[in-house]
Amino acid sequence: MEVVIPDIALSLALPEIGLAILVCAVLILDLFVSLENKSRVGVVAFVGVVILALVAFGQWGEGARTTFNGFYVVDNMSVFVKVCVLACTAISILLMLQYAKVEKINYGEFYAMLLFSVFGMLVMASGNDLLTVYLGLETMSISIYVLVAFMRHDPLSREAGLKYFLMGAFASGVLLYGMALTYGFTGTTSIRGIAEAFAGAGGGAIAQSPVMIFGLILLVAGFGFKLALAPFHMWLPDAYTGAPTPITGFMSVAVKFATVAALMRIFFVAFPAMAESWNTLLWVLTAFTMVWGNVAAIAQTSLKRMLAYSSIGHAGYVLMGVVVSMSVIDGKVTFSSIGISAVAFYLLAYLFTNLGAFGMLILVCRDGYRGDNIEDWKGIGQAHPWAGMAFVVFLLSLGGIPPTAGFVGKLYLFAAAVQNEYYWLAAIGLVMSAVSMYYYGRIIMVLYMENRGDTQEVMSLSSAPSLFFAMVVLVVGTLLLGIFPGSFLDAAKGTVAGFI
Amino acid sequence: MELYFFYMFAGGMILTSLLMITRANVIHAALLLVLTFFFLAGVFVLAGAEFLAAVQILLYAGGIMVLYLFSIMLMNVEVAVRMRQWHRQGAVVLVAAVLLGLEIWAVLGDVEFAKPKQWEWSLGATPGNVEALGAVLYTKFLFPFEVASILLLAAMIGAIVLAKRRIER
Repeated sequence: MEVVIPDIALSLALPEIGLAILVCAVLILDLFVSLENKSRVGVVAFVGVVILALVAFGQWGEGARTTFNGFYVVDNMSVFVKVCVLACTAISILLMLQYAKVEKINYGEFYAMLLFSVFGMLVMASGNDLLTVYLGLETMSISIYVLVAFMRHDPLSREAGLKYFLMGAFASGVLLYGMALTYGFTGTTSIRGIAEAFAGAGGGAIAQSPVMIFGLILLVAGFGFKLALAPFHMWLPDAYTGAPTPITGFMSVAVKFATVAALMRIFFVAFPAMAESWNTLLWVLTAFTMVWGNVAAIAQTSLKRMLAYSSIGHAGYVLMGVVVSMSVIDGKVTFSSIGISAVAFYLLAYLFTNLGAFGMLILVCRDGYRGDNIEDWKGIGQAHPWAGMAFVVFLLSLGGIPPTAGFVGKLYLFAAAVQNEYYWLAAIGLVMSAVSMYYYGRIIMVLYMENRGDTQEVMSLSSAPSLFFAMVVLVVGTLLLGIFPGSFLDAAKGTVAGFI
Repeated sequence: MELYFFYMFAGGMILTSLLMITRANVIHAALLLVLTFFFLAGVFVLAGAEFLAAVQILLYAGGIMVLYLFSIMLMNVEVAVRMRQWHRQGAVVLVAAVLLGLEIWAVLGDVEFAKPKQWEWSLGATPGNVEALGAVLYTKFLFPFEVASILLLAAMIGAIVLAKRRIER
C-alpha cells in the first residue's frame, strides 16, 4: 500500500505551532519555579504571546492560503482574529499577574490553561472544516471551564465552573449534531465542500429538506449557546460572576472573537444556499439578545454581574453585524463588506473597552476585598481622579458615546444595518443603546455624585506596575479607536478580502 | 458460516444486555456489560472493522469498565442490593418510546443521506482496516489529529488541576 504524504506548508500554521510549543514550555518551566515566584511563568507566557502576535501579524495581507489538505486556512480574517485574540491574551496576562497572587491562584497551570484555550481559538479562526472548527471549539471550551472554576476555595467559582461545564457540554453536543446532519446530507465536512454540494446537482433539494433545516437550527442553537445569545444565555451571568475577574474579561472578549469568526466562516461560506433560513433565525436571536441583555442589566446591584449582562447585550450587537451583512440583490444572496468589517471593528473596540471595565474591578482587588458591588464604588471618582476618569472612558465606550471606540463601532454597525435595509434591527439596537446608557450612567453617578458611607471600607488601588501598564494601554486604545479610527477601520475592512 | 457467527454475537449481546439491566447487584451488571462489549467487538469484526473491534475491547472493556468497577467499589454495594430496583413507570416509558420511534420514522423515513466522498488516493486492493485508518489519520487528517492531541492534553491537565490537592503556601 502506498501512502501519499500531502504537501504541508507548516509555516502557515506558525502561530498555532508556536503556541503549542509555548504551552509545553510553560508547563515544564512551571516545575522549576518555586511557589512564590509563579508570576515568572506568567511573564514567560506574556512574552511568548506577544511574539506570536507579531508572527501572526506578519501573515497579514498575503491572500487566502490553505494547507493540511484544506483543513486549515490563512486569510486576512483569520489573521485579524488571531492578532486580536493574542493581544487580548497578552493584556489579560498582565491583568492576571497581580490578581492571581491576591486570590491565591498563582499557579503555573493557570497560565497554561489560558494558553490552551488560546490555541483552540486560533484553530477556530483558521478552521476551514467543520472538524477543525469543532476541535478548536472544544479545546477552547474545556480550558475555559477549568479557568472559571480555578478559584476552588470560592464556592461561587466552583458553581460557575460546573454550570458552565454542563451547559457548554450540552451545547457542544447540539452543535455536533447539527454538523453530523450537515455531513449526512452533503457527504463532506469541508466548508468549501459543503458550499459546492449545495451548489451542485440536487443541492436545491438538500437545502429544502426539513431534516437539513433541523440541522441548521441545531447549528444556530449550538453557536447561540457558546455566544450566550438570548434565550441561550442562562449560564452566562453565573459563570461570569463566579470566574476569576481577569478570566471573565478574557472570555467575554476572546471567546466572542473566535466563535464569531467560526460562525461567519461556516454560515457565510458553507451555507449561502440556506442564507435566508439562518438569517431569519439569527435576526430573532439578535433582537432578543440586545433587548434581554440590556434590560436585565438595569436590575443588577453587583457590578460584575451587570457587566456580565451588558456583555450579553454586546454579543447581540456583534451578531447584528453578522445578520445585516446578508442582503438579497436580484434574488441572489450577497454578503456586504460593510457588515463584516463592522463586526471586526466592533469586536476590536470591545476588546479594549470590556477588558478595561473588568480591569477596573481587578484594580481594586486586594486581600479579602473585591469591590464587586456597585455601591462599593461610591465617591471613588473624587478619591482617585485618574481611575475615575479611566472608568468613565470605558463606560462611555460601552454605552457608545463619542469620543470613544464604542461610538465608532456602533456607528458602523448601524450604518451597515441601514444600508442593507434592516431598519427594525437598527431601531432596536439604537433604543437599547439608550437603555444601556441608563445603567452605565448610574455607575458614573455613583463614582462622582454619591458620598462614601462612613462605615464603608476604604478602597485602595493596586500599585502593581503590570496592572498599571495594562490599564494605560486599554484607556489609550479605547480613546485612540474613538478619535483616530482610520487605520483600524482599514484593517477591519481588510478582513473581507478573500473571506467570502 | 458468517451468518451463524453474527447470530451468535448478536444474540449474545441482546442476552447479556438484558441480563445487565435486570441485575440488582451493580458489580454483576458491570461485568455483564463487559461481556456485551466483547460480543459487540465480534460483530465489528464480522462487519470488517477490525480496528473498531480492537478499540472496543481495549478502551471500553479494558479501560472504561475498569474505571466503572473502581467507582462502584467506592460505594456500598450491600445497601444498593436491598434498594428498590424498578421505578414502576413501564407504561409511561412504553408510550414515550413508541412516540419517539414514530417521530424518528416520520422525520427520517424518506431522507436520503449523501454517500461519503471517496478518498482521492487508492489504498490498494484490500487494505487492512488499521492500515487504512493510519494512512488517512497521518496524511489527510493530520491537522485535526494533532489538534485532538492538544485537546486531550488540555483536558488531562485541566482535570488534574481541578482535582489535585493544592500546596498551601
